[in-house]
Amino acid sequence: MSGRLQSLKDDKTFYQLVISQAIDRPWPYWFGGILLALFNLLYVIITGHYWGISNNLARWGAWVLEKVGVNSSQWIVWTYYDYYTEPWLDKQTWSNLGIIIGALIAILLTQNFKLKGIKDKKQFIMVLVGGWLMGYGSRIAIGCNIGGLYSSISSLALNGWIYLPFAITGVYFGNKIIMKLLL
Amino acid sequence: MNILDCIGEPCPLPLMKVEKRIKDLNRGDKIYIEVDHTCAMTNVPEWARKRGYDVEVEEVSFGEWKITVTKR
Repeated sequence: MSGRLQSLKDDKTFYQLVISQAIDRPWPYWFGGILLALFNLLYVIITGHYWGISNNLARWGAWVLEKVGVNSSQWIVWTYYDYYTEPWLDKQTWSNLGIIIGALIAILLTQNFKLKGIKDKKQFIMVLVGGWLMGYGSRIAIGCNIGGLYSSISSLALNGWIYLPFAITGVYFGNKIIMKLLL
Repeated sequence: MNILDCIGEPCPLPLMKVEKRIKDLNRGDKIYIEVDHTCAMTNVPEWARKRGYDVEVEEVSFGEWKITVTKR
């Protein structure tokens, strides 16, 4: 058998090579940074609004509470950002879904998609508590690290710069707690 | 045998666990880390190479890897 046929059979196809080079391995930070900046510009130009994630989750949460009879649409928090009676009309719903679907497409292209279970009870509790803390924290700060930090700093708002040192402090102590609890 | 079972654990836990465990090892000792998180498969070898340790990565089954680090 000629070497060429052999290499075609054993080595990756051109398509697999492109995928493994472009998607499978992590991009350098500078490249990801430039892409984030470009897509952020596009987002602001197209939607006329800054990019955010967690306000939308609050809108969906409030929507669910309304459905089960809690009068959540009257909460004072809606003076800080808009309440949506139909949260699917919120553009953040679609940009959030875009993130999830985009990540899914990327992992499917690299053929690394795999469903994973929960390791143990401890992880289950940690994940629930961690998720609750993230959600609660982003609400009392009126923005997560995207709306409150990234979009704020990139639109020259002072609140992003105030957010930053406290986020760093939180990450520092969060790491200490993880080390104590999980290692 | 030094085996770290990190199956089902997301980043950065596998890396943090190896960092802690490797302190107790002598030069030439091996530690095996079992991971199923693709980013651990990248950042654990990267960290080990930076420290000058020997690293081998083996895909045990689909989406599960065994990383062998030899302390130097």
